[in-house]
This record gives sequence, structure tokens and C-alpha cells, in this order.
Amino acid sequence: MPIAAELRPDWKISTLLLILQISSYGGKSSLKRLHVLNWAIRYPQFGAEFKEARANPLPLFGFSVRFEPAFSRAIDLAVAEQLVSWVGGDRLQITQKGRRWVTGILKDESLMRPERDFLTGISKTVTETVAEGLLSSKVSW
Amino acid sequence: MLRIRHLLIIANTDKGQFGVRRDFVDGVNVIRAKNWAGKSTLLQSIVYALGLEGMFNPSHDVPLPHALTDYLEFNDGKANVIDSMVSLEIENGNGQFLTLQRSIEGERHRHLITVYEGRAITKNEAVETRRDYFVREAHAATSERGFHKRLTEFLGWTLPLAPRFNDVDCPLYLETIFPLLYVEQKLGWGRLPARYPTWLGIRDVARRTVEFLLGLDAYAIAIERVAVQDEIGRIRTEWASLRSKTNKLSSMAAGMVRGIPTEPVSAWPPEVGPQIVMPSGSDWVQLRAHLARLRERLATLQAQPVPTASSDDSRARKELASSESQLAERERSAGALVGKIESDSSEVQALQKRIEGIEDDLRKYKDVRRLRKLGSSDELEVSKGVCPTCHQEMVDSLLETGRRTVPMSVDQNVSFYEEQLQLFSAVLANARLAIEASQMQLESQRSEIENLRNRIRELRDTLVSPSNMPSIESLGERIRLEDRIRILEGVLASFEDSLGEFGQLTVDWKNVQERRARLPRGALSESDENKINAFQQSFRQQLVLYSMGSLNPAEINISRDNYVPEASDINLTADVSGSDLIRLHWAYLMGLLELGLSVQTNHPGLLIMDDPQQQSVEEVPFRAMLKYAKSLNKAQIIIATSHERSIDEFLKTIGVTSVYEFGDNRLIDRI
Repeated sequence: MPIAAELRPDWKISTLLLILQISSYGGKSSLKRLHVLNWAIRYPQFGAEFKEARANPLPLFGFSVRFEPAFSRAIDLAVAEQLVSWVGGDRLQITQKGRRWVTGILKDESLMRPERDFLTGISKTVTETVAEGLLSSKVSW
Repeated sequence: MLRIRHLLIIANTDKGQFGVRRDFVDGVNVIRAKNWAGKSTLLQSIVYALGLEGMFNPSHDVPLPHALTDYLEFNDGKANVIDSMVSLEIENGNGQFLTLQRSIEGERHRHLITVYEGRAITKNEAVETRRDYFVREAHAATSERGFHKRLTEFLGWTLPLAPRFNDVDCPLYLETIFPLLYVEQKLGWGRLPARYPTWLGIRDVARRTVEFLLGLDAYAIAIERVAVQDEIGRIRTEWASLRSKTNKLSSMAAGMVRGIPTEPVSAWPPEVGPQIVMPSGSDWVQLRAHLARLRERLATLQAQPVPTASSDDSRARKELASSESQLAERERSAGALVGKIESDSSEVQALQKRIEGIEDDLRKYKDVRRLRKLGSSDELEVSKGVCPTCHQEMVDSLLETGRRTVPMSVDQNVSFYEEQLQLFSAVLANARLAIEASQMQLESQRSEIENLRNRIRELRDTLVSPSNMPSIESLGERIRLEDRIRILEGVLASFEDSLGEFGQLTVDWKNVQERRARLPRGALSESDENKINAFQQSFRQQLVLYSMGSLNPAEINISRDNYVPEASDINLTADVSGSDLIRLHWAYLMGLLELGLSVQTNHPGLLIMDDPQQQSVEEVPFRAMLKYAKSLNKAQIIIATSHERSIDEFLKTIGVTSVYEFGDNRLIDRI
């Protein structure tokens, strides 16, 4: 059975690590925020929608975040691989091993390019508050 | 071929004339003297006489010691050099001689080399042919008065062009070739295959020089490969532009081109001849047949006098009725076509979206593949299909799959997407073609509708006009027919011209395909492969004789990529002992030389080694090397050594006769 590349564990785990490395302060993030960014990163059109949501001060009806079960599973696997670890029970933080892994990805300029470009584009501006706001569609940036 | 025949160095000093004079024979020539005696001076002055000191560095200083430029020491004191000069007699493969003279110190410009077309020193020949050439200046390798151009001709060489780092090609300068023929004492040893000058900025210099020296086809093949690619590109582009030109042409006539392949072909005309087809109702007819039909109709009309309005009355009424019903019919089918085009277009859009999706997925898959390679050092258990928590087997997917459904492997999945991509691209191309055809039909319907409307108007006019007037409708039809025929004839003529151009491209295509087929599969031709094999064999055989210590000679190969020695898992320059590196160096340079003796190469059969016993290589391998050199007696090998005098005895036993024994003396002395 063919499955989308998105659903391969390596892909999702690498996405998770990229989010923590590039777009999270101290390589640390809440689960909710990770889901928001994972959703934004998935397809170019979501990315565009996301950026529009950022630029637009009005409540967001168009951008509705979905919690992707595959992403949750990838997080569990990444924890088991000790690439990330739970901090204080509600935050996920990248580990030394995780940083090694992500450095390997970043070394290859062309690897996961659109995903990286998206994350570098938003850098660390999507804070916990912003993510929370995006979820409740009440945010103004 | 190049042979050094006679060397003369003269220095005029305030204490009289000093210098050295030596003959060189075929086979091995040994110069033995103490370390400080001036052996290197002697060998370097050969390089200097050939204007090749640029092979060491870009400096314009004379690469010779003070003994020839400033002051020299001799047994009874010190003398100041007033002027000095080196002269060299060289011979080529045709038995021709040149004498070269170059000033070291003195009034004469050091970028000039005086050339005599014969043995001017030893036989006083050809003194009248004296001519000055320049070296170490721009164009010395290409200009008529450039010495390296003269030397290249003398050697019977044609220097290939070599790509440079600044993307401007230049000749493969002699300075880059001679490091394979001359090893300088201080820095030359232990760099495999040679210490090349970098300041000339030639790319892949090691590969290019060995290719040239061994006369490999590889370079020509590489050039040909690029040329073939360029030609294929050119034909493709021209084909595509010609094709779009004919398409435009035919759409001007509301027709469509059929039967011209999208990609160039090598046989022309194709089995189904290319043609322009015109829509005729829901069918298509060939342009020629269409034209014939129009001409026939015009001829019929012209055979009759133009009827008057009254005589045409009953026919005009009938025509009007039929034209009006035709118009309704056409309008209906035009409407249907618009609908079809719309639905086809939305299909195309859907297909495009689908293809974009697949392309995105494919890109991600290729990344996944690389991610897995990346992990090989720091492997994740998940990518091996093992659960990192319970270490049981796990499917390679984040989906909740049923137990029986096994996801494809990443590679399978990539092929699956590639296949899909191909399929959908083909479907897309088809759909686009269908739209194009429908649009053409629509256009033709519309122009027919226009015609019918004109006709209906004319028929009405005819019916209401005074009875003795000529029938407007009949006249109008004649004029329209004549116009249409003229336009279509023009289109047909240009179409036939462009078929001729397609024919020419087909011939080019066939030629380039043949050229492509002649290219060897890899970078090397069969004869290249044979040469490298022979070279490798000689190289390995010598390494056995020189008792290579740290490596098994049978495990060392000559790389097919850049012709340097390589051994699997080992970096030859880093992991091998210094003395083994020297052995590799001997074997490499003599291997090149030896190959040139048995097969056609560009190797001039000359090798000059300054103090080859470097890195305290032991006595046994050194002697083995001398012995091997002696066996290549058709070549000329010049070796300078500061080995103890005892070597003379050994040289005698292996039959080396040309030994210059300087004992404890300096080479440059009173003459």
C-alpha cells in the first residue's frame, strides 16, 4: 500500500525537530503550538494561509488548525528515540541527540528546503500566546 | 620525443670564465656529486633553457643560485659573475636539432630565448638561422614568436584546450605537463602524481596532463559528449520552435497540424505524412482536399454568368431558408463545443493539481530517502522498522493501519509516485490536445457562422433589390471564395517549406544520434582502457621490485577518474610512509615513460629526477629503481644523486655508461 511521505516516521520526526530548532525559543515548545506549526508547514497552501492569518488583524475563520494524529504518534516515537524529551510535563524540548540529528539535516542545503524556508521565514515570531490565539481564532498580531 | 643532447653553462667573472659542459645520451645518465656541488643548478638550468621555470611558481626571478647570478665560489676563492648564459641542444623524434640559448645574468633580456635550427654548440651548425623567441609573457604558448609554441611544434604536439577556473579555456600549458617529466629536488618529491603549478588556474590539471601525456581519447570523448549534448539541445529547441511556428500558421487558416512528432525523429517524412487538417462540421479534411473543393466551387460559379436578382429569386428564397437552418445548427454545436472546452479545462486543472501534489510528495519522499542515509551514523530505530519503546517490529508508517496492510517501502513508494507522475502527465498532455482541437473546431464554427450570417444578409438584400441588379449574394460568395483560396494557398506553401526544414533537422538528429551511439559507455575508450591497464601493470610491477612496505602493490589501482594511484580505504598521501610515497612516485613517472615506449602516446620519453633517493629510501629499492630505469634504454633518464661514490660500481655492473662523477668538486668550474 502506498502511503504519503508525510506519514513516514522520519519525515514527521524531522519536521518536529526543525520546528523546535528553528522556530522555538530554547528549543522548547508546548504541544499545542507544535500542532499549529505542524499544520502550517504541511502544504504550501496552508503555509500561505498561515502567513495571511499573521498579516490579517481580523479574527481567523479561514485558518483552522487540525490536530493531526500522525504528528502525535511521531512525537511519541521521537520521545522514545530520545530526540526530544518532556519538560515539566507540558513542554517538549529538543535533546542533544535531537540537535545532532537536526544539524545533519541543516548541513544539506537542499534537504527539506520548503519546510525550512517556511520556518526560517516566521523565525521565532509565533510565540505561545500567538499560537494560543490562532487556535481560538481571537488573536491580533 | 625529446632528448637533451648537450648542455653548456658559461659564467664570465672577474676571475675568468667558469662553467660546465655535458653530453647526454639515450638511456640512463647519472650525475653524482656532493650535496653542495651544484647538481640541481645543472638540472634547473635545463628547465631554465626550456623557459619552463613557471612550472615551479609564477615568480619571474631566475630559479638559479647565486653561483650563476651573483658570485661563485671555487677552490681558490670567490669570483663575481659579470654575465652568464645557458645553452642547450635538444633533439626530437625526427632527428632534428634545436639549440637554445638564454641569458641568466647580463644585459640581455631574460624573457628571450635564442633558437638555432641545428647543433650550434657542438657542430657550429645553423648559426645563420638564429632567431629570438620570447617566454614568460602572455601568448608565449600561442604566438608565432612565442618560444613554447615553437617548442610544442618541435615536439610534434598539439596542445589541447583546458578549462580554467575562470571559465576561459587555455592551452594545456607546457608548464603543467613538465612536472611529470622533471622532479625538482626540494619540493618535487612525494606529491602524486606531480607537483603542479596552481597559479595557471587550470582545472583538473592532474587528469588533463596525464590524459594528454598518455594520448588518451578521454578528453576528446568528454568534449564530444558535451558537443553532442549541445547539439541535441539545439535540435530539440529548433524542432519545438518550428513546430509552434507551423501550429500558428495553420491556426491562422483555422486548421490544425497533424502528424508532426513532438520530439525530433531520425526518419523523415513520418509514415503518416504531416498535414494540415481543416474542421468540416464535426469531421476533419485535409487542407489540400479542402482547397480542391473550394476551387471547384469557384470554377462552377465562374462558369455561369452572375444571375440577376429577379432570375435568382426562387433559388435565393430556398437558399435563405436552408442557410437559416444551417446557422441554427452551427450555433448549437458551437455552444456544445464551448461546454466541452469548459469541462475539459476543469479536468486539466484537476490534473495539474493532482500532479503538483504528486510532485510535492515525491520531493518529500526523496528527502525521506536522504534522511535515512543521514541517519546511518546515528541510526533511529523507527527507520529500521523497530519500535523504539518495545523493540518489536513496527510498520513504517504513522497511520493506524490494519495488521494486514503493509506499507510500501520508501523505494517502492518513490517508484509508485514516479509512475503516477508519468501517467498523469500523459493524461494531461492528452487533455490539452483535446482542448486545442475543440478550440480549433469552435473557431472554425464561428467563422462559418460569420459566413452564414453574411450570406443570409446578402440573400435578403438580393430578395429586396431591384430585379435587374446582379445577385449580391452570388457576387459575395465569389469574392469570399477567392479570398479564402488565396489565404489557404499561402498557408499551404509555407507549410511545405517548413516540412523541408523539419527534414533538415531530422538529418541533423540522425547524425547526432549516431555520434552519441559511437561514444563509449564510460569516460574511457577501449584503447584508453588498455593503456591504463598496461600503465597500472608496470606501476605495480615496479612497486614489487622496490619492496613497497606499507601496502600490497596488487591492491593499488590507477583511478579511472583522475589517473592517480588509489587503494581502497586508504588515502595514499596521508596513510603511506614517506619512503613508500617516494617509491610510488618513481613507479608512477617511470610507468608513464615505459608506456610511451610501447604504444602511441605523447610522452617525449624523457624523465629528469633530481635526487630521487629521498626520505632515506633504502639502498635495495634505490638500486632496483636504477636497474629498472636502465631497462628502459630507449628513453632518456637523467638522474642526479648525492649517493656515496660506491654507487658508481653498481652502475657499471648494470651497464650504465653515462656517469658524471664529480668526486668532491663543484660542477661549475674553470673551463
